[in-house]
Amino acid sequence: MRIKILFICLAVILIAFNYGIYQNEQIKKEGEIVFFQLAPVDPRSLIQGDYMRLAYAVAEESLEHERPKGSQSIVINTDKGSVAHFVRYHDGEALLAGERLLPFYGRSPIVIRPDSFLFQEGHAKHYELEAKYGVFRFDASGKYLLTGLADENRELIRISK
Amino acid sequence: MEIEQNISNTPNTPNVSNTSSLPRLEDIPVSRKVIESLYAHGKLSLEDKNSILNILSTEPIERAWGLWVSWLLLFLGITLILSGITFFFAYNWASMSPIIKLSIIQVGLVTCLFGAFFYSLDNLPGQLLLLCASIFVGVFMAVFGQIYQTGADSYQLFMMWAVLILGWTLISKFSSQWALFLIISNVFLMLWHDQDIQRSNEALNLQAFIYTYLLILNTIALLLREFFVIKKNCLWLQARWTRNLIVLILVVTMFNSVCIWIFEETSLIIFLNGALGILGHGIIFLFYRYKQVDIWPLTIVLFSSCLLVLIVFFNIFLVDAKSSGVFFVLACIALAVFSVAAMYLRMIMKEFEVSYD
Repeated sequence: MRIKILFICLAVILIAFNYGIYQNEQIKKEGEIVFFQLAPVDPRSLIQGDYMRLAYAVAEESLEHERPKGSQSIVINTDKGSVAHFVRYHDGEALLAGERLLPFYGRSPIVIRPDSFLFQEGHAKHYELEAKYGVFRFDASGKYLLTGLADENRELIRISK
Repeated sequence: MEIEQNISNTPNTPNVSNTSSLPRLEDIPVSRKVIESLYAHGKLSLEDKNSILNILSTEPIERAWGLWVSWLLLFLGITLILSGITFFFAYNWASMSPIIKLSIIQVGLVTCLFGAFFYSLDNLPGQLLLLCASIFVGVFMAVFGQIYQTGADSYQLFMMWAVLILGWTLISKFSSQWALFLIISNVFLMLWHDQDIQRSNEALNLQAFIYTYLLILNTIALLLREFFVIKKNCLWLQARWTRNLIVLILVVTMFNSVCIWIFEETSLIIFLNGALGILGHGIIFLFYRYKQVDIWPLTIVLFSSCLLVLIVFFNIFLVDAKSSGVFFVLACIALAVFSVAAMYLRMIMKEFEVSYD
């Protein structure tokens, strides 16, 4: 009995892990690219340890709008260069074509997660100066991943050894 | 001198006089202590003593240190292998593709689990391998979160971790595995609560609820631990540290909730937490003083109580104090409170030693 449980648990864990990998790889491959302009969190300490704190321009744009009570997401759309812009706070209404939902945390200013980008120790110098955009990928159901950072020409920053 | 007293005090030791009130020689269980006192009284020669002790212990005495060294090496080896894996990943982070990173961890996990299976879950190597496999589950999720930058709800990592290793924990019969599970659950509760607060509108009123949650979780853990050890005679859970660990977490939680009650503006939940905290201190004290005498939990709970007494004095006298003389008074109170506690513990210790002998 114990052995059965031991291996059933192993199977469950492996299935869960690999399904998670598959799902995220799918978004990474197929998802539609949206660039989120970065707003410096604090110019003097953008880099902390081996990750970079991120704040997005859409969160700053949201400050000019009033937040309806109970709203937990914002609506964004993209311009021609696939850069995201704040449209309004979501209040349960249906979305127009090209609009996407983005959950937020905290209040005034709102926080969009992930609000950090992790990289290998010592690679900070590549990101520190060049990073201007967060590269997100959205799948059809609205799930999204932060897949990397891009420079001002919206080119993904790659680290070559 | 001490041994002599023992000999004459305890009825369990063989005595020359054959009075009928003493047990017969056949009824006396042989123990290391009996042998040692016989030897101390010159009833046994050194060779006799050693040969009897050799028969008594499953492992010969001369090899005991070898056993100890091999256990030490086992623990050291496992620690080194795990930190080796960690540093390997840290150093080669960018040069491995995500799939490779995650596959290596999964291979490690499966290897540990099969190791646990072949060693059997009934002995230490097997149990340690199961513990390693459980830690690999957490490592996998941490790496997974880093690769896909899914840092959004960090409580999810600990929640999934706890859920995924629950099955293994239930069958493990291994106290370290349960300790890992308990710690993960505590961390999950704290992170989840933090997240929950951020999203709600009455942040301040709800903050104190975390202490209620932690109190409930760890009280259940402690009750289960004591029930299975005292009532069910559960051998694998008997190690003292399991009790001390849970008592420590509980007392820290209750200490915090009482402190908040003393210092912060009172709402119903803060008051309830504080009252429960004080009650909890009392219950833990009474239980380990009179029901199950144990000096460690008593020390923890008394230390926390002393600090609380000081904090109350601080709050009464010092918060609006004008003169520095108050610091002197506080120092005197600290000295008095801690000395009384230490003397009291020493007294219980003595009582304990006597009853143990």
